[in-house]
Amino acid sequence: MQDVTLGVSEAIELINGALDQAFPFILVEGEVASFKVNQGKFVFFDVKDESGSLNCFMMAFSLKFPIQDGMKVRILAQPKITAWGKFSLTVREIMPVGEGSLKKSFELLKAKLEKEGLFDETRKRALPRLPTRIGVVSSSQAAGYIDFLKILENRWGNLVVVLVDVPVQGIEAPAQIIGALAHLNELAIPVDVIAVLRGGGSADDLSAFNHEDVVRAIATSRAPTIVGVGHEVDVSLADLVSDRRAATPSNAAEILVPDKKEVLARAQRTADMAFNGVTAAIRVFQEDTNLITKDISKTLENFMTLQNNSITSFKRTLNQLNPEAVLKRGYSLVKKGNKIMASTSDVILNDEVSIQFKDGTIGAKVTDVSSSK
Amino acid sequence: MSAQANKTVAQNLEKLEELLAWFESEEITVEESLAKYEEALKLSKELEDQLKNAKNQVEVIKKKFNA
Repeated sequence: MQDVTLGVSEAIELINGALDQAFPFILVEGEVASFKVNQGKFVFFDVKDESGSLNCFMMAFSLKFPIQDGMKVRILAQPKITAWGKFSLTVREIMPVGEGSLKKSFELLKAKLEKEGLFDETRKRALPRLPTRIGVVSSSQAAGYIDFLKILENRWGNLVVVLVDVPVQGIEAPAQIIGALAHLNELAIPVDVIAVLRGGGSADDLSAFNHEDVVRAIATSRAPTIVGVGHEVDVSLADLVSDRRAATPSNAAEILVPDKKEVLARAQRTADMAFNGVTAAIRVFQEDTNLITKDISKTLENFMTLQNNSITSFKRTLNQLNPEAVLKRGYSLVKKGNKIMASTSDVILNDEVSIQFKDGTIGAKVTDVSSSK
Repeated sequence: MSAQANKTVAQNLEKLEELLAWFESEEITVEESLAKYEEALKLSKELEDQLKNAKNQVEVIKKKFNA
């Protein structure tokens, strides 16, 4: 190698080639200094510790956590010599580490996304009442995921859980979580809901859930999302942007499906209520029938009374018309044979007639006929 | 198949809720209530059968995604 003379560019290329082979990527942790963004596109800063400092370069679009001077960060970077011979790390991923830096970054990104309206209640969609296919973004090794499955099994059945098994912590986690979300949203048989799950951990362990692109991927997920990350006290931006926040992965399972014991008890109550309903309906029917019967007999009774009254008055009228009654009042009835004599023209002189009184009859002879007119 | 089963469960649950609402309403006739009572019994029995021994199924996708 020493025998070959290289041009400057060739030398740079050779060194970069060697670097790439030896260290395709290195993970470096340090404190940020001299952070600046040029033309909104290029990011320059240094990472340093007590005794050393390294130049870093990255594209602004790769910046997924707000970074400020003084923050402790972990970077995934490619060591390189620039065309100007300056040694620099080309940063692919950068994330804050340590509670203070994470908190600072969290607050900055939260404020930014809040301003965009990403956490608005109006954006939140309802989860399916009873999902059939549940997509899960988590690690098959994560304790939280195992709890989730166990509770799901206890509460409900007939579910299909589609897990995309990805790391949920570490510098690789954000890209894998985003990929998993996209994959679940593009399945031939779509999932009804996507659960993003991770058990408890340190602020560093949970930092992927405060990664801007992860947060945005959850916001734009086609399927509604539920996020259960960490313990109850942990709040991540993924939680805030999700359609439904669960305190823990176990809580996510409780939110997603009802407890079959409760559902069956409710079904039983419905059947009981239906039975009571039937009983009540029959009682009402009986009461109605009684009322109707009562109504009918009352009407009948009224009718009869009315009839009776009419009959009585009719009888009275009849009575009044009874000739005997007239005789009783002192009048008498003149007959010739069986014919009643009602006028002077009915008789002639010497006709023999009978006169009926109330108490008997006498015979008589007509001795005079004189009309009153 | 289990996905289909859960659809039936959801439908049965919905029907039960409807029945419950119906029984909570004011105008209930004997004939109708008898028919609906039988339906409620049948549904709750069906639900029990569907839920008691139902298991969940897990599919795992292992994939590395490019950033």
